[in-house]
Amino acid sequence: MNDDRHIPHETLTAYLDGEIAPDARARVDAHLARCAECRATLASWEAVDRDLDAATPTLTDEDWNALAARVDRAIEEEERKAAPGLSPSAGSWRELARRLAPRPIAWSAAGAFAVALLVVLLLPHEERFTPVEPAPTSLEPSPSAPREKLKAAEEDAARRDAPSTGTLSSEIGEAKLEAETPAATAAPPTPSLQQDFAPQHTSGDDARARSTSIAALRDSLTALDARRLNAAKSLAPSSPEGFAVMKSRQSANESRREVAGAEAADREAPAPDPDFAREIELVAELVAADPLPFCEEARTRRGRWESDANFRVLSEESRAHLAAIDAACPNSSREVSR
Amino acid sequence: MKNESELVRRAREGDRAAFGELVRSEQRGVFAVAVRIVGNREDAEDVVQDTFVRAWKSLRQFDETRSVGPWLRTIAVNRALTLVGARQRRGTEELTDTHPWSGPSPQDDAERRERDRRIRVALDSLPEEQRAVLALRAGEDLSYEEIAAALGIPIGTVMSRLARAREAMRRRMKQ
Repeated sequence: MNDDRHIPHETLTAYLDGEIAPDARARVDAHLARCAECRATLASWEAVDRDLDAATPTLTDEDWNALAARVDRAIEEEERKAAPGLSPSAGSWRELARRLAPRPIAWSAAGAFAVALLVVLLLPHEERFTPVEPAPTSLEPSPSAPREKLKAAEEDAARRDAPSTGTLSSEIGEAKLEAETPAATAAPPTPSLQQDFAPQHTSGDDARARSTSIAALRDSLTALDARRLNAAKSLAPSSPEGFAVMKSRQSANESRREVAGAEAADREAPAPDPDFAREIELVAELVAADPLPFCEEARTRRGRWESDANFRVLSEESRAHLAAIDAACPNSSREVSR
Repeated sequence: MKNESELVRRAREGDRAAFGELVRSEQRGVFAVAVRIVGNREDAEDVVQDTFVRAWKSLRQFDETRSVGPWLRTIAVNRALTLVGARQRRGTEELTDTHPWSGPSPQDDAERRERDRRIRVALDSLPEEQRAVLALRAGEDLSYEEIAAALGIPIGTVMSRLARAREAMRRRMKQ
């Protein structure tokens, strides 16, 4: 029989899986009745499916229980990391939200300070050093305060030398909590930014807060990109300081590579470049906030990350952020999108 | 088991016990997808843990009108592929020799071990995108529509990848 007249393999697969329309099924049945070759192909595929099913390992009841318990412990650990002051029994994010509730007051003070600082810096030089009435320091959050706090937190982080992405993340998370309505802060399942953009929030204020927050995240990512670009430029060996920094980073990277080379040492590897981790975190928060526009960017960046030496020494936190990106963008990893 | 949507609703409100019930009801399917991709129990259990932790943290993004099983398998397949990719980059993708596909069992015999080994070798030889589709479909786990949604590809691509995967497996198994 001419090959052209055999059933296309795609159709045969759909037939095998019962994913074929009734009329097409009838045509396949008619062909199979007279074509031994297609029958043999179908039979061999059925055998593959059977063997694959039979060969797939399973666990004992005891092992399943142990695995479920392991998952529960891991979640408990995640919760503890996210909110160190909570006891394991606290469990509920409602409880977490209640415990975090006083924090926005402290943030209001920080935000007011940031605004006051900005006002002072923007004043003409003469006025800056003239005694003036202090800027309003009300502890009530103003509509623009969360945005100011987000930016202040970013700028503050940009000035820091020590890696502090985790702290920054929680700070921004708290600032964003403040942007929420009281009802919204009542039950976030996690304190991360992604939860602040749940579809249930439909009021105009929430939409504005969400839009502002996404804009703040994008600004942060842009600022981070610019800072990393400038840092790369400053590493040019033409400047003695740049050369020293470059040598220092090369040394650090060599250390990381040595550790990464030893499989078992992966978990104890030194933390990667904090800016690298921060970039992953920001992208994770953006795709969690709104997957549609940001998944494509996540895919692009992921390709670059995977070729970066820092990717081999990712912290658990960064791995979790990558997992969050995967969860939000099912085909974000190159393996799947290929 | 309690109603799935009720468990999801409670879990979204932070009820860990409800989420634990979801874990117990879904972990077999998630494990099966993971182990078909990563090829050994230890890594598959890591993927299961990672999947449920991610799911717990992302529960607010989950569309309650959908079934939770396909969503969990979507996370699992991505985590498993990421793990395999990392293993390949580290040059440790030697599954057949260093990672047993199935553990010892009372029914173990030479014939079964040989069948399992051939299946594992055949699976490992598949391109990852074909392995992912086959892992999601095997055991009639997910429909074509669900696989397409999980991987972000058209249904026609699901069909062609499945057909190529089955044909490649058949040829490999005959060798």
